[in-house]
Amino acid sequence: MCQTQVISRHIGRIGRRSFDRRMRIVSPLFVERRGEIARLLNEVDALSEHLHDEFPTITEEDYNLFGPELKIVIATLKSLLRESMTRRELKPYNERMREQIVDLEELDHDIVEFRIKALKDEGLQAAMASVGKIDFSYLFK
Amino acid sequence: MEIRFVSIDAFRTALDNLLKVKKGVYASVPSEICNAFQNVSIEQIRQNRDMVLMDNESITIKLRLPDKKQRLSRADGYRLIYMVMKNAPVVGLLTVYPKLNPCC
Repeated sequence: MCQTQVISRHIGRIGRRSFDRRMRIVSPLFVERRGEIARLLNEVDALSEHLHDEFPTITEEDYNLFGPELKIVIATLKSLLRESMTRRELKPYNERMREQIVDLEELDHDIVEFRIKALKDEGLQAAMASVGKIDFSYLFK
Repeated sequence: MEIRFVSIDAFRTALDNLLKVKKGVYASVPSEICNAFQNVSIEQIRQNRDMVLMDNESITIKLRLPDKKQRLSRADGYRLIYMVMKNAPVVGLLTVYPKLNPCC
């Protein structure tokens, strides 16, 4: 198991904060508090960093635990971005939020493709094993 | 230690296709790839955080490259997939594509 609990904790914190923020943005009584958005984006960065660091050790079992939560975070951030794009005062955060969404989506995709599907792909495993048998010494003559 | 770079057909085809795109949109790919491997040791090439696959003999890495021509960061630039051997200073280039338009 990788640090699934740590990842889940990150996701849980972001989930609560982003849902809360989303509700505030859509509320007519919304009062902008840039600090809150900045903290949310910092936490998304921390989650991204953590997923990058743990990527090589993530297992299918781990992903089954945090994958659905990660998808919810991505969907919520997308909604948040859509809403924040309609508010001029939040413009400075939009590009960073877009980059974070793209990064999390790519990570989610790579976990499924490389940490789960690729490990079960017998053809790929055989191809990798045969590459390992190539004698590269001729390249250095 | 001298590092040898080899490539497979899929990589060369992908590179050709990118370079054929109108107005030279992706003309900077070769230089970005060269920059990524300039002045780095084989150990640095192997120990990349963007490792996606590993077996007994090789490590496969999905490297994020910027696109300075279009002013795109590593996150939005190119993706280069390469395989580096564990027991020989050999890097195999597998494919390359732009992150924001993977169909090219």
